[in-house]
Amino acid sequence: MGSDERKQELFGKMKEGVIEYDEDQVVEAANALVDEGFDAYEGIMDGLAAGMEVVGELFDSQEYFVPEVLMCADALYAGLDILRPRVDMTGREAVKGEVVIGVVEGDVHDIGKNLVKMMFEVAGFTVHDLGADVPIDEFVEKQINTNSDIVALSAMMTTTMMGMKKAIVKLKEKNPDVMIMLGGAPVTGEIADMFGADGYSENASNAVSEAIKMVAALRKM
Amino acid sequence: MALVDRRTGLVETIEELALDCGVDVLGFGDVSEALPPGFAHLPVGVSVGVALGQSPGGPARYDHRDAQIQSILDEALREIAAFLRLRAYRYFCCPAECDPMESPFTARMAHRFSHKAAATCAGLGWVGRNGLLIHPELGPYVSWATVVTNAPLPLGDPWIEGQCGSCTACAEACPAGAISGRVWRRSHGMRRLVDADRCRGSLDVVERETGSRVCGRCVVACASVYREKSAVGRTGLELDWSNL
Repeated sequence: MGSDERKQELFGKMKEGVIEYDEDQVVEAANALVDEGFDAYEGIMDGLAAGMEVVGELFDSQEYFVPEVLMCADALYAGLDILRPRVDMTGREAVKGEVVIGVVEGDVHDIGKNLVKMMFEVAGFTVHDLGADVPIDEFVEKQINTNSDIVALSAMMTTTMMGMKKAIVKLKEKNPDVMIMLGGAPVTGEIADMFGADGYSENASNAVSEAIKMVAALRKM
Repeated sequence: MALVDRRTGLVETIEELALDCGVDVLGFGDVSEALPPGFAHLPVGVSVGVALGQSPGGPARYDHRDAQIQSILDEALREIAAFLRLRAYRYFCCPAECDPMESPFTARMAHRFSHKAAATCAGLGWVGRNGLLIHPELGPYVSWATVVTNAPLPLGDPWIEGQCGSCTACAEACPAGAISGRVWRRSHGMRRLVDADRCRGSLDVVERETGSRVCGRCVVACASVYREKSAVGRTGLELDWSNL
């Protein structure tokens, strides 16, 4: 078997393992990839992330629901744990950009946030994770300190939404070019427009789907 | 994987796998009313329980994180999930205890899912005045975990009301006065049984005194009632699979 053929076989196994939420298969293929000296970054993008892209399609077509996506994400993560330390950054643009991410003050529902965070990391972004229950000023402060390109805010409760509006106004005031993404249940498209945000996710499920679509876009960058 | 190759019945294989792992109680229930959003396609709960402690009625001191019991439950979930996968059913494992750092996504759902609710749905016990799942023979000393699935399993008759009768041992034992004494009813949910704030507040005191945030007096009091009623413990336990 040719070397390239073998590489594609391992990518295929990782991709299928993510789609079928088969952690063991992902781990086995990722270890083989490392042992046989193939490129870890390619493995992440063309194996793991490619699999997650299909998961996004299955989610959109309502073949998969939240539990399956979570298990797929765990399978992807198991592969990342093996491959990420092996990524050779020399001679490659180290980072594609920086993103500040967090769940707005008063809110601790952070599943969607963690999924988006993982996607950004896979795509080669440097992620500044502020965690959950984050005061809005911290987003502004962190964006300024890191000069991040993207700020991703999430809130699941209506009471925290006004906090997001304040944050957006402050961020845009300091840096009109910063891209702001909103996620979380109570945020409608209309409200996102009103707040002046650049992107939004309609609810927790859509946040998952949006996150996956984002990664599809990032792979092409 | 300890899977049998022959095409045995679904129930028999799950029983066998669970028993091999060291599970003491197993049941299937319709959990559709107890599921978090996005889980509606997995309406069947497979509840597995492991009795705590070797002595009749369980240990004198309550330990809510027994490593050996956790590993039995984890192993049982893994085996049952692997078998359901083999049979092309959907599943999701809700572990008893989990470290959110170890399992970054699935573990996040665990706290949104009630093993106690699933066990009542499977007819394995009711919720006591102390908010604990009470198994008719083992009392409160059982650790639970759940797999939810779309596999067509025979569903148990759910418990819908607490069977504590006039017993208020837990409420009397609670140093925080957090147990209201109300009888659990499925239609009312878990709220109003235990005042969580009072319970938590009392744990601060317990921690100062003992260095650990485990109180467990409501568990011990309840278990002692069961110890008196019957000498059923981990060893020599007569498994009752009749409600399957």
